[in-house]
Amino acid sequence: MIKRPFFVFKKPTLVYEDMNQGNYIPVVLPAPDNVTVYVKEKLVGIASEGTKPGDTVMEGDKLTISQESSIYATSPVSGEVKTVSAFPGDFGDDWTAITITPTAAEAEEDVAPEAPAKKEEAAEAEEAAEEAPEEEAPQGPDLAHLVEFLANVPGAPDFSVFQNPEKPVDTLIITGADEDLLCMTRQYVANSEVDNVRAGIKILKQATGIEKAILTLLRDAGQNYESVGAELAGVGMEYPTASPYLVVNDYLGRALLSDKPFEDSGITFMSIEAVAAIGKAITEGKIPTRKIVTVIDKNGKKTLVDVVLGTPISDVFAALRITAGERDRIINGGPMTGTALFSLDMPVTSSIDALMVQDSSNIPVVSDYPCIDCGDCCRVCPSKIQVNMLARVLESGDFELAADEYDLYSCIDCGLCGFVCTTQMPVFQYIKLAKYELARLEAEAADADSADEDAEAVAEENEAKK
Amino acid sequence: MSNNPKFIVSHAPFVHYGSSLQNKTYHTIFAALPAVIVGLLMWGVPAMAVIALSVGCSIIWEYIMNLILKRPQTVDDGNAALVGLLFAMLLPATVPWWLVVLGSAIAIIIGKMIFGGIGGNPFSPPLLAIAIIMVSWPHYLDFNVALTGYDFDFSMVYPLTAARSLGSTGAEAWSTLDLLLGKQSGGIGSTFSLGLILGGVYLILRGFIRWEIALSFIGGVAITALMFNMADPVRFAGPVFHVLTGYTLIGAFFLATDDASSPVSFLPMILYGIGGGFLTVLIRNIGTYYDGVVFAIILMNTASPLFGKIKPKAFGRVE
Repeated sequence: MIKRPFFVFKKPTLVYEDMNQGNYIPVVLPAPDNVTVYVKEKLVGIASEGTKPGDTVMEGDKLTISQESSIYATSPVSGEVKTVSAFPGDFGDDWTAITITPTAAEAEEDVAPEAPAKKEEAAEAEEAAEEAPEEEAPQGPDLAHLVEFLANVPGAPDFSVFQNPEKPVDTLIITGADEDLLCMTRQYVANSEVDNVRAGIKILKQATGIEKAILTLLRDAGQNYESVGAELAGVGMEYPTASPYLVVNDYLGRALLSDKPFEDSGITFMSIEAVAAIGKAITEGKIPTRKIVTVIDKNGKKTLVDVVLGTPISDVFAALRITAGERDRIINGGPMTGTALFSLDMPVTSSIDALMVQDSSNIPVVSDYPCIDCGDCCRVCPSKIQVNMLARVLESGDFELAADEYDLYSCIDCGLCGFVCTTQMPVFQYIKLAKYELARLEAEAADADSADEDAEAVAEENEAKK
Repeated sequence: MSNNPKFIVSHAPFVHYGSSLQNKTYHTIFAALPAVIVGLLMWGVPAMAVIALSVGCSIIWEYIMNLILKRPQTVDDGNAALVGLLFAMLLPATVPWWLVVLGSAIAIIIGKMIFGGIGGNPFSPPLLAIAIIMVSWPHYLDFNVALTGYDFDFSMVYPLTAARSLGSTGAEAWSTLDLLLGKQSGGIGSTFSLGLILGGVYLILRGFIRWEIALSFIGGVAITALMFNMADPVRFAGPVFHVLTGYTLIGAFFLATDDASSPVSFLPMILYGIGGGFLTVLIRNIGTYYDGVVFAIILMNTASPLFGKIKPKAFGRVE
């Protein structure tokens, strides 16, 4: 990472990682001794319906915690379910963690991932893929099938955005450029899985009916992607040009505020890895269970690894001989926008693109010093926010004022303000906290409104009865 | 689960540019040293006493205020020492000790701590102290009276007094080179123009102060002085004289650029600097005080929040 130079003539320029600058070949890790997957649903009491400890599952099987729920996880291995337990996700989410111990045969076989999977092991996945073309449309599967089987492929596609009739989505932006520094996962997939991406885009366009697809690629790496069915958007090397907000601004000419999700404007994003996984699943008839992850060690050395979803982070680090000890920091994602993790037992999920380890001696201090108005943040801000004023307002907790007068929602969450801050204030944390709290208050207000409406409806009914 | 080490968990971003407040203040002190050292050589031990007392008192005042206000200690950030140093640089070498103690108290307590410490000060602290002393005990800051004990090979009349009473003829007593080399009467650290320029250029190149403010302030002084000079070349001295005398250079590089009391965007910074320069010459040429820098910058400090209202349109805003 760059440090303040001796002479400062301009604001700092951070550039994305360019894969072509080095020879990056993923290290293929064997299937681990146990895998953990998350079902994004709250576990009430003990697991009685759905998946239970002791169950035997096949690779690609659905794991659920209740019979009627449509929320599921996909088992990345065949084996025996060991535990089903509650897990606290980020930002107060309640999830359920399911741990599976693979059967020995599976573990051995997985050492060579290129080996063709046994038919019976991928039975359901293949069924899904084969059924669809026969029954529904001759060209490919429809959206329902994707939702039914491919919601947990690497890259974590969110199909629910295509199913919301109130907010129709007309533009799909496929992100082939990594959004954070040091990450190369999407870049690698964009370079190495051209055919699968091609197939995936075709399938997605057919299944969702979306005409306009945009594929973002770092710089102009688009030579492999001629007539791919998506417009190519070359993203600049300078951080944060790959930010979703800036991509929408640069290629669709729309500067969107961050107070509403992109879907409200008819735009949705999907990682190129998810698109490749969808293409691969349908062409090969098997749900992909391996993911590319960029691992950044304490010295900043980057390694690509190819792991089975659900592999504990400790296994990934052990394979790369990375030790993470007391007071070190483990980060899910890149250095600017990632989230810190608290346990090595956490698994590689379908949405983790990068894992970063920082040595305790390299962790910058966050201070409680006040803003001194040096203005470095204002000059570096890609959204031209007056961050010095915004930070003051947020520090005093006046989130509504920040949103109304000080451009809180112009923020595109790049984190550059915290990166340059002279007094090392947690500026970015204040901004995220304000956005989260405002969203929570809005949701509460909406709940209260609907509760009021319900009460009114009941009252009216009672009136009518009288 | 239990064999997991305890990791540091905090919010993004996880890397930092490496800039820090300590770095900034200590380098600003470093940049002021050329002017201070030449001042010490010129004015001798009394000047040394004033500087030491001012820096020491400022640190002690901040320490005491932090104790009283029950706030974490902040003296190690170097800002109190910097305020003390800048305040001493503005004083004549012969100023009585109690005025230094009082002045540093005004700078630290009224100028900074009662507003919540660094970052909250609406005025540049050393300037506020010097302004209050200028109004309350003007004879101690009258360089013509204070520095009579010194005998150098150049005119010991305060240049701005000479320019006021004799117009451009009075100003001709000093060559540009004399003014650059500090051969003029004035504050301990504000006479050696070359040193101040060196320090200022260093701070600008290192990115510790904004060139927009410093250069537009000097430009404002020069342009306004030039206009006066062109209107009446006999009564008013020229731009070079105004830039190299009094507090102009220390004001431009060290006082007007105080972070908290100056604006941050480009246009406001330029307006702030030019406005300060304009007022400076206005006060010098047709005002009551010989040197206008102090009140000009304090007036612009008060206007700084207004300049802050001129802001660029943020991303996605339609107005």
